[in-house]
Amino acid sequence: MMKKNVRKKLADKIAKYLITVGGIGTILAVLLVFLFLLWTTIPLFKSGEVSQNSLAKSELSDVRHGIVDEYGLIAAVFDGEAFEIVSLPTGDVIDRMPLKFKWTSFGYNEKRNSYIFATEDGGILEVDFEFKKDNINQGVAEGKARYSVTDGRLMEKIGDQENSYYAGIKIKDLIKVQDGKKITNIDEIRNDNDNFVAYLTDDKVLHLNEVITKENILTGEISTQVNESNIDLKKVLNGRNPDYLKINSSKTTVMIFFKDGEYISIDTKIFESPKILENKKIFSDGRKITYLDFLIGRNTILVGDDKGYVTAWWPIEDQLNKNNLVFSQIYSFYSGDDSPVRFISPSKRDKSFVILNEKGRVSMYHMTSGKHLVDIVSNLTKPKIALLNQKNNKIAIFGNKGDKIETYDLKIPHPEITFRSVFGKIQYELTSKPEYVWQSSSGSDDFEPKFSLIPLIFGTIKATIVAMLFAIPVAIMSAIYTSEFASKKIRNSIKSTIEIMASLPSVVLGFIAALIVSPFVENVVLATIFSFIMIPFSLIFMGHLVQLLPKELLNSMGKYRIWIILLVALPLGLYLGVIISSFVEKLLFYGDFKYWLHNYNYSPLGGWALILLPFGVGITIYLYRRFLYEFYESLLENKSYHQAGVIELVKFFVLTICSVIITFFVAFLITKAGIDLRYDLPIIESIMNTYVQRNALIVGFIMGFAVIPIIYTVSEDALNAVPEHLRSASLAAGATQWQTVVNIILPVAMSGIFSAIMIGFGRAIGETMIVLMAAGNTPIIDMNIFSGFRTLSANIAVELPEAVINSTHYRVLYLAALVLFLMTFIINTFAEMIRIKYRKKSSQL
Amino acid sequence: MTELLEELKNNEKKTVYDPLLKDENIIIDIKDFNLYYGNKQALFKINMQIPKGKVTALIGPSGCGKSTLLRSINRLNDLLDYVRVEGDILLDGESVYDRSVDLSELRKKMGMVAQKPNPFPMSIYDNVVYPLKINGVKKKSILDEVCERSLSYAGLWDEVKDRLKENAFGLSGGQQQRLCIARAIAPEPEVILMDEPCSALDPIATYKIEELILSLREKFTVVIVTHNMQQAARVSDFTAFMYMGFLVEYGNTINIFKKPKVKDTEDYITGRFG
Ligand SMILES: Nc1ncnc2c1ncn2[C@@H]1O[C@H](COP(=O)(O)OP(=O)(O)O)[C@@H](O)[C@H]1O
Ligand SMILES: [Mg+2]
Repeated sequence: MMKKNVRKKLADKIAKYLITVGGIGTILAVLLVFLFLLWTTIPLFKSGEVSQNSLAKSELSDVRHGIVDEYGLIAAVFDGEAFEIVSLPTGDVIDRMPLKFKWTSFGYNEKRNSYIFATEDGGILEVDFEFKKDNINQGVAEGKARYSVTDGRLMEKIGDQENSYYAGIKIKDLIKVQDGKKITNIDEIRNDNDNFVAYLTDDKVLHLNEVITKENILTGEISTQVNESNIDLKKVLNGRNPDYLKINSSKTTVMIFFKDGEYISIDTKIFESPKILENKKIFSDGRKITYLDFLIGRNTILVGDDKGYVTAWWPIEDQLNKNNLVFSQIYSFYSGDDSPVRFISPSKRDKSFVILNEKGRVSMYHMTSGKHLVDIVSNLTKPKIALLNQKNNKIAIFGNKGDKIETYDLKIPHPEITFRSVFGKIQYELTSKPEYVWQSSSGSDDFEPKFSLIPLIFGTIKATIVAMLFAIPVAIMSAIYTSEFASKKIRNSIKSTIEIMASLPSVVLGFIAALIVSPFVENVVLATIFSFIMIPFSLIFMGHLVQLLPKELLNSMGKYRIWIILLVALPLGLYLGVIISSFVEKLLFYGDFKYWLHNYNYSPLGGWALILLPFGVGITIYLYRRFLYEFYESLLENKSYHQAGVIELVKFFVLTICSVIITFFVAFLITKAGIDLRYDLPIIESIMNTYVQRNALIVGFIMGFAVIPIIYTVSEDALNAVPEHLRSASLAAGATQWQTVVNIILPVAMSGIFSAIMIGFGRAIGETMIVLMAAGNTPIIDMNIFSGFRTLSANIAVELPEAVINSTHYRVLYLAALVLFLMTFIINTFAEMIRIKYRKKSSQL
Repeated sequence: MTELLEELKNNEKKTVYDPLLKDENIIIDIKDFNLYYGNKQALFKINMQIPKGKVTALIGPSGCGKSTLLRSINRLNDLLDYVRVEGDILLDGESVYDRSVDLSELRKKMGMVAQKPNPFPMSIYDNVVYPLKINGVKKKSILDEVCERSLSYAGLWDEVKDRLKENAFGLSGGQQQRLCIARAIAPEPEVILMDEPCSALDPIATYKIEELILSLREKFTVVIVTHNMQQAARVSDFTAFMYMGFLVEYGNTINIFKKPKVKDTEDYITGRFG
């Protein structure tokens, strides 16, 4: 006896211990997942880190411009007379190349590390730099790097490893301007096989030169073809010399700026006949331009002014005339002081740039995200330029003659991410208004990734809502049927069918959706929609018909009644759906529903009627209940059972016709008001538009199947948990089973059913495979029920395998996962809270 | 015990009836009624006539089939699909078990009060008028009137008239049971079936319910299951003693308690029963 007791106690203890460990373990696991997601995403929102690297004595003269190599170790700086190759860590001039020509104007090509010069004698030549790194001694790079200069090279020693850095210079003649005119401004765009040069001569004529180099593959002979055109700008320039001349990336516009803020643009879309596009003052408050350059990609102009601001500009659509592009200020950044902007160094990597102002403050911003990345105050007495290297991890600051060279190390992991850039609207380069965009990669080089999660969250919610609209009624009706009406046998077979449904892998459902249902439905869109309307209709209709049968027969049909009704109503509904849809398609949709969807010449009446039908039915029922109910009751008085059945049937038809009439009346009014549901609804723009094969309706339908089992199971449990004595009390009081369900069972089980719905929501939100396969995966925000979408989960599944570990893209995908986690977590917690509350309540019963 | 079963199986055992019953006006007539839960027979050849306007008590040891018999009268056993019945029960001469019978119509004629108070999770008012509402009565004046009448009848009106809109769960157990009685009599049924209505209540609440049952007799026919002998003796006009699914003795309460004809009945009443 004693022994047994001890054993029991021990078993108890072990069980208790195990359960505790298991429970805490689960909580811990969830917490860990959460923390891991958080830990991966938090670095996204950090701003930059700066540390001073070196301060080296230099022998440079006044620098005007320069290029830093990829590693931030050597730089080519230009002082107006010569290029000097400088070692940044030591400050030594490694090499010096005096220009052998007298230049009048120069332009800088950030993509190629090259300059273009116009000379006094009318020549145009290119100066190219090539930065090189040689590995002399391979070995373990350990400890601090030491630098020295020998033989025109910068030597680097890190532990055993030895590298040398140097730069090569190439000078090439490009064009010779004939009649020896002086060039006052020049800019160039160079690709592999062609150059586009724009220059202004002192007779105020703008020349455009296109140099196309062709290599004959067979002979290897290289031929150059030069196209020329020009435009006389005497009138607009009015004798003045412009300060800046820039060509945009698409070579469609040449932009001319004066320091006083005047802007002239020349449209060069038609190369042969350029014409003046705009001529205006860009600042209304009299600010002066002190520095001007392109952001990477040559689309955005960064204007530094004497008030200490850098503004970003590009042409956007005119509000009045969408074909007109107007050069506009989009963003503004503060250099940190009210002192003129001295220099701007755009990044060669992304849309960030460094501003240097006269006070020596260096600020770095990312344009589109607006993130303030770096804020340094230089120690130099008069800093002149601040250069950013290609990797965005070094800034070198050069000063006056005799000044030192200052370099800083930067750590800017994710400049493009702010809370606003993932959750807010962002105006991307060259776009006319702020938008939510997800576009994580593209083929082009200076592409800017767009990481707004809103389209994905929207897609997730869209999919979920459509799925729930389908799943909730089906699942709850089946749960009510099995728990309240079905015999044990039927209940078990329905339960096991639904369990099989639950065990269907969602890949299979997705496969069915994408390859069978979508192509099928595409051909019978309207018939499908009408079947969904006609099946409930014919169910109710059959219900009324059955009432006409003799009461004795009806009672003896007993539990089979519902099956008999279903057996007739389902095929009838389908049949009616097909018939009515083809009729309606001819009548309202001009014979082709899918064409009607995007042909706005066709009247939107039919679409409105389709969408408003549920409201029409609702309004009709409300009006009937409100005004005609008493009259109807008085009709039924003193009528026999059979007569009452006939009256009910007539009522059903009259109400159906009324619903249709009310629907059409409202649809007609809205159509007359000129509102078209295909494109100009307020806020949501459209509900119906171009039909895409893989669309929200299909996904919703199939995903509905995936969530039906869970909603069914949980709500059936809730229904079964309603105490038996309430059920029998209601039945004993003379209620029919249906009345018992509506009046007693459902209200009592409501919270349980609600939590079932919420759990279904959670499941639908996280569902991946079905949407991945059947939703088309276009990350757009579009209410159109016939268009595709991309959900958070599908997006993670598609993009995570190709995202570089710890890259911005990678971390943003984790952020998407975190958002998904929080969405499901909140919904499930909410569901659980309601469930617990309801459990407490039902224990009272 | 096995003896009794043998006798039952062989149809040898016969119910002993009190001759006084002959003079009564019969409302419920149970005829050769057998009931099976699956394979297990729970009621054996019950023949019993319940007089109108009287209180009839069903007594017997627990598990003998009292509730089963009571629930057979309003066909509440139909809810279980493994229940099978033989024989018939007539209400006012009409078969209750006929296939064409509308169950809700039938049950409207028989109010029922369960062992444990089972108010619905709604207000006191809604509880009382529930049977009328599902019957399609919507007029507020009628509902109000019925509510007051039924609650007064159940002796609850003065206690709850100021809080009709409050949830019924706020009432005490005895009050809840009287509320259930009010609900049962609200649609003015012919019969009220009560299954051990006091078993979950304290003596004072029990006393009140018993008073109520006595007053109900004027208007309704009451069939009450109880395993409390004193209660049966106090409230009923007739008493049926059941044992193992079998109706052993049935007759005038005074006769059953004073001079039972069957030994088993006597043993049970005097408490000498296992
Ligand atoms: N729902 C049921 N399913 C199966 N057997 C039942 C069920 N209800 C009662 N029984 C059985 O029928 C017999 C009579 O039960 P019951 O009528 O509840 O007895 P009483 O009310 O007299 O205590 C018992 O043996 C009991 O086990
Ligand atoms: Mg019982």
